[in-house]
Amino acid sequence: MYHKGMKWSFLCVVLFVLSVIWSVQAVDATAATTSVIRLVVPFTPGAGTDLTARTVANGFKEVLGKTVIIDNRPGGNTRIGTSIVAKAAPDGNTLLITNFTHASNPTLYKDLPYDTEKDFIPISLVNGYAMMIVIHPDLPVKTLSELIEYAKSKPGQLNFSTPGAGTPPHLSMEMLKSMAGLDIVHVPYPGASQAISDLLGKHVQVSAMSPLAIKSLVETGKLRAIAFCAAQRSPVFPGIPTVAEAGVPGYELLSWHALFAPAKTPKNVIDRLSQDAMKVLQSPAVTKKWDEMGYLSKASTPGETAAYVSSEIKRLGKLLTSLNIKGE
Amino acid sequence: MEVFHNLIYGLSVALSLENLAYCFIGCLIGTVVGVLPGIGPLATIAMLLPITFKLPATTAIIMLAGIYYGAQYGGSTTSILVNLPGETSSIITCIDGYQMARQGRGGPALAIAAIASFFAGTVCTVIIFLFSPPLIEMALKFGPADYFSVMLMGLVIASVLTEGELLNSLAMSVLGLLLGCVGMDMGAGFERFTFGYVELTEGISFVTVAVGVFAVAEIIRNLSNPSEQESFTGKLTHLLPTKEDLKRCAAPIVRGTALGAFFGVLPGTGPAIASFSSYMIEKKLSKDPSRFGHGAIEGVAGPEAANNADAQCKFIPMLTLGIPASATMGLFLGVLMMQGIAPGPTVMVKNPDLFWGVIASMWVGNLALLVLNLPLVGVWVNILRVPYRLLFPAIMLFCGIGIYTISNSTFDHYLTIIFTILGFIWTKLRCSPVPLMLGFVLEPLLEQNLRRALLLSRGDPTVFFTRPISLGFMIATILVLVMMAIPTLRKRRGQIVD
Repeated sequence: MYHKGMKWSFLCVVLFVLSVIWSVQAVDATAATTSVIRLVVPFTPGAGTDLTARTVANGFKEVLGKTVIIDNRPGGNTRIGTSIVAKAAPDGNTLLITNFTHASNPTLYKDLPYDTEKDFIPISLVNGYAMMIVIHPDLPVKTLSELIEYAKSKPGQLNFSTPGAGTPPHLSMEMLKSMAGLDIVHVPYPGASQAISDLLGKHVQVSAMSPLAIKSLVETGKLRAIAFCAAQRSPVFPGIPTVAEAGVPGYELLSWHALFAPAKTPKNVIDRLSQDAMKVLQSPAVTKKWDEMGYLSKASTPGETAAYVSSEIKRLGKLLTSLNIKGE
Repeated sequence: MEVFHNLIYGLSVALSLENLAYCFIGCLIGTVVGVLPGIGPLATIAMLLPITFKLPATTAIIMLAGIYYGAQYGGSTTSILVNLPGETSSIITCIDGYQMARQGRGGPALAIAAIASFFAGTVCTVIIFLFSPPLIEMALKFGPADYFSVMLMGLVIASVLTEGELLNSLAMSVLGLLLGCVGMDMGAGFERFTFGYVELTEGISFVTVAVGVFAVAEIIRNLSNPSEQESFTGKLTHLLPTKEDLKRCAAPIVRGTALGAFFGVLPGTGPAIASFSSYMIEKKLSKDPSRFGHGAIEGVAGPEAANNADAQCKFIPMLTLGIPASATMGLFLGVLMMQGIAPGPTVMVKNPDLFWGVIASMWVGNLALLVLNLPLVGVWVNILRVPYRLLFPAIMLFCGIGIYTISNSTFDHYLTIIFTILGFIWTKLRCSPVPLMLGFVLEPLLEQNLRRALLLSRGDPTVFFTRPISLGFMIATILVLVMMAIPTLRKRRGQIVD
């Protein structure tokens, strides 16, 4: 019996090793074939950008019948995954999907291992998103202007939680603080989940969160949503005003996801990718998903995207410098 | 009565043929994944995400949850057999589990791990059914200062109770804390001890340290000691625990389950502290603490129960508030969001089949794992009959593949080599790597909560003694230190008097 068991266990082991090696090779081999795109995601599985990437990959499969493989290369505030794509073969088979960290990193880090504008050709914006400003319902305020008044009466006494320095929630709050002249203390957390749980536990009073993540908590009265950071209202919370409507005119902090190819990719390949991306991103299959997930649908030509990204680098650079947020 | 109704409803969802099949598949994949170091449930679930698009949300989550707790079961298998902790939570199982295997008692060790996990899983399923809302209210009361005090208590107790010189183990835990500092600092974004390597910005991966210090260092030790190589092949006795074993383990399993459930409900505690505390408590309560570290079966049973209870109760914050306690849980929420379901308290009302079905499937999954694992004990133990000259290259191969999968780069291999050398030196110097591992795992949590607590108190350190929860843990920490110090002081005084 022992002998039989041993053979079986060995067979299992061998099969498993082979399958693992095969799957690792499958990812590496994608550069050589033409029909499979390897999409590098510089975030961990489950992060917002990862979910966006997987929705896009699913869209490529459903709309065009093309296979896109997700390759998560997290770390270094997106620098690791981004530099992998900067060095990848420029044949259109390795692409990068990243968020607006791509445009804030040149300000945050003086020695990036790549040139944000010269080493990439933007293909298209993928979607846009913004944060919802939320407070604990025990706070004696109901609207943004009341919160501003309350915070002004207690300078330096309120706290806001974020998933880390330089993230969209952090920038959204800092911009609100500077435009409304508030003194609220930033308390960073390693992720959105702990930032939410400490808001629920009243250890902090204010936060900015992605609308879908807090929808259920707002509906059950555990949190109160007071204002949305984009220029238009959120599809998830049509009843909640924008920050600009609620008393801080001119305020907007929109975050985005975009697709990039390595710089030397031939023009005809970029054109083909751009057409494919347009078809996928404008298909109902994908736009319906964005609505459900609380994203704003976006799609743009390579030229428009490049202009947008370089304007974002300038805008975020100015914002980060004025707020004195540094990387290293 | 309503609970009973929910239970029946949940079971009816979980026991539908499709869900049952996916639950079983999930458990099976999870077990295999847990056995391999590196490829954790997170990477596996990410790979399987495209499949879940085609499944109903309930079925998808049931399968993914199966992978999650299947990995907890699988992680202990390699810890016991070859001193290779597959998951963070199974480091502690290495200590006595591996010693049991060397004494030819690998079968009972594996079996008791499965039984303890099953018991904990069953109890926690009931806890989730009955007490989720009040438990989460309690958990939210824990602020940064309170988390810091709990972690500090865990670290101090672990260093104090580890085998060997007190000074050695304190030094090792401080070294662990330093290793944990490597990487990007969370508040200001400064890079610490990265020496310009972008790969180090996210910190040193747990797997490289665990594989180097435990598994590979052990292989080197075995190879340098030819007489020991065949030592555990000859004397395999029985596969299942004896009555005596079960009697010894009953109380540790219950205590482990309670501890695991407590830490599991707190979303910010990480995976290691439950199993570490359980081990330390069992050692302290044991009539003969000297057996610990030399193959004490309680040292496997308690931590394994704690580990599984912790993993299971981590579902409470996720199911009731939509707050994921780990990256893997975050991925579950991602799956829900991609199906257009907003995670949080409304899930129970809007998608009751999802809520109660997933909870009921946990118990079904634990049962499936027990049924799956007990017969496998015979198969696993047979691996130890493979001659060591064949076994060790196979272990090395697994470690190599596993480490590559952490971030798909060879950088981690170099780190593992460094930790192997260090681990070997530490073994020779009789410095236990266990407090080092706990320090390493707890550092980010300790540091972040310390800084956050001080930020919230505007720099006032008395916050750790004015918040009631924090004060309680601080007093407990001091009591433990005093309890440990008194016998030593008495002995010293005795020596002086003599």
